[in-house]
Amino acid sequence: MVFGKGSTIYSRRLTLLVVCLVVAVTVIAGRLVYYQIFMHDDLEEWYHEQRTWEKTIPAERGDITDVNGHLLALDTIQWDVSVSPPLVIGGKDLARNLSDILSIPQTTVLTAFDSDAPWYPLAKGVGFEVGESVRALDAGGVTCDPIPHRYYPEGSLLAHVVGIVNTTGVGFYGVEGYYDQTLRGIEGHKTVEQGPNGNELPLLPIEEILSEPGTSLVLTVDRNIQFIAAQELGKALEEYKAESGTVLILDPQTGAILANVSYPSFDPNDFVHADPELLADPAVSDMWEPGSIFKIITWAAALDSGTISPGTTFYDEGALEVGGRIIRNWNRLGNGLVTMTDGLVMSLNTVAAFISTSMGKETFYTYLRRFGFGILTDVDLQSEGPGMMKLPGDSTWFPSELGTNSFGQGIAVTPMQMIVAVSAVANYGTLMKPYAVHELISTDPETGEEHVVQVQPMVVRRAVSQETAQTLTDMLVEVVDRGATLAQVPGYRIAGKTGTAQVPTAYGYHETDTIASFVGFAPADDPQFIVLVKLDKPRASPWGSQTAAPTFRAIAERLFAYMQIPPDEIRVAERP
Amino acid sequence: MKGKLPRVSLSSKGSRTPSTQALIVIFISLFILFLWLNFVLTQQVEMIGRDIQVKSEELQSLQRQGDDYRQAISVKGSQWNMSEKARLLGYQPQAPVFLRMSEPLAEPVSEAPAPAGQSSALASSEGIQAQTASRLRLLLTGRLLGPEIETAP
Repeated sequence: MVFGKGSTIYSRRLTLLVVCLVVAVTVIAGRLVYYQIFMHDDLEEWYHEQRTWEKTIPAERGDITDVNGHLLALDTIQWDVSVSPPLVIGGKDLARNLSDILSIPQTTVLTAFDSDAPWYPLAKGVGFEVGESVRALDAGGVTCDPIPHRYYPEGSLLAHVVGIVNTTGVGFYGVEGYYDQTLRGIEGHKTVEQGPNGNELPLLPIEEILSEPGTSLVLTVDRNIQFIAAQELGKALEEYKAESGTVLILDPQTGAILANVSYPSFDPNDFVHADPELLADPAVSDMWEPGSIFKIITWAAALDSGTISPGTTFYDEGALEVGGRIIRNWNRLGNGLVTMTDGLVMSLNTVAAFISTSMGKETFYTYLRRFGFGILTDVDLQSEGPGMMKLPGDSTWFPSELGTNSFGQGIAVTPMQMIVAVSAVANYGTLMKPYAVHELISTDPETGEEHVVQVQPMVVRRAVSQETAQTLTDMLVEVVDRGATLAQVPGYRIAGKTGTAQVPTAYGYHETDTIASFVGFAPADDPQFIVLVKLDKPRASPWGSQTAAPTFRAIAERLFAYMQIPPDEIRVAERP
Repeated sequence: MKGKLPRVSLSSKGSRTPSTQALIVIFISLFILFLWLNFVLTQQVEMIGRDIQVKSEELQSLQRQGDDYRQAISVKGSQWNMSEKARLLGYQPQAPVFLRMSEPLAEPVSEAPAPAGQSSALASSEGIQAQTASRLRLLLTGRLLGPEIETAP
């Protein structure tokens, strides 16, 4: 056989084709090796990213209830309705339906549909029924996103105790802030497969970790007592034309907070529109110079240290010099020979200064520390402040402070510190830790079993002896019987003390502004409650005895009825 | 005979060796059956998955409805609402009435006499109840009124 020129060309072409095929196969094989071996992990990861969708399962925040189980804070869902105009199908019919459900003009909906924006919000924070109705339309291009929302049924009544939760689910102030991590729970995760258009495929999840609901809190606060305090404080602010005020009510024997009201307050359901300065709880974060109610502490220290007895006498000339500063009584008058009981009843600054100087600075300030001044009470409410107490040795402390501190000047305390300190006197000398949460209830997500942790009252320390506390209680009863008569409730022995503090300014004390206060507990022989009333800058009268004391009486009268405390005569007779 | 083996047939008379065509048919049938079963199973899995999705959505919707009810109830029962309703209905806070007794309503359990023929625990409990009820009746009907009773202010 003889091949011509054509057959040579054919042979070359065949060779070339084979070479090309070999090269092509080699390239393909190479790419396969590259993708299958070298790029394997990256491609697998890319596949999973494209095909799987990790969804977060939000954990339900724990409820907050009062001591009787009334809901104070709960989680609900609100809906944000929006449209993606390019994806909307339905036109006018859909616009009419949405307009009816959302109660917005149809033109607004049509404007949204015609918008060039990729996303257009229609309504924010709509309720359950509206949201479910929109979802039921199942309309393309209409999105209905559930937004967890914290709701406070009591509104402003317990705003400062409960606190707030912001839009990202973080709690601030009150118990919401203090127990934020406990209330939050643990988020769950679900990995599902998604289709090309991003929707979840109807397959069982690849992985699912259930969320754990947050722990619920039962507060020590009684909603009814809180209401009584809020009503009476509101009346007092109006009647005495005060700028603001605080009422704190504690069980002195346990330290449990029964009520905590401060005005002005805010609505925690709409805290974004509230003045940010109102959000913090004044009862634990605001400090003031307590004035004469602080004499309770001075007298307690002096009685306990043996410096004085109720019958110890002092000749009051109306003025006393301490550390180069002249200390005068509130009326600038001298009262002659007075006993220590008289000094407390008449609220004499000179007697207080005499007591503190007789005790000496070391003893005096040691007792102030024992009563918890200058340090946190560790109450379970967020944003607590330690107050301000200067100590001998500090650069800002002067010898005259020993005199002024004895009647509550030059020292700043929080209402919580003050009531806790006086509670120690009511509680036979034992200082208790104040607390706002009575129980923590967690639920097992798998079994549904409830675990209850009950908070027990905690003793901090002994501030004074039982005898001192009882002696001082008797003296404080005399204060109410002879001095602060507007605090009296017929049939009951009440121990208490008024205070009228001047308001410090950058240039000394304000000439007219005062902070009127009263702290008292009852029944004096078996205290069931202690109430601190603080009224800021009352215009009707500057005196605590004429403003805070009657407010205390109004609260105490209602508390005796609500707590079913019989009058002393009947109650004491009942005892074996 | 030598050098030539007799012919041996392994198949018995009447039996048939399946032909290649038959094997192919069987294979294809089994393959189709496998595909069908696979399809049915996939369909079932998808239906169950879809069912779970629907039920989950229903459950979530019910939970939301429950939350909504809880919210509505808590609002209706809130302190301000309740006090306003009470005010409109004419209710006023009342101080409780305390009764001062010259002696306890009931004797301590350990000291209560046991009626004859009854076990002491049962008898004492019932005896106390009877005594208490009797004294309360007397009090409420006014027969024990006088220095023994005093009301709180």
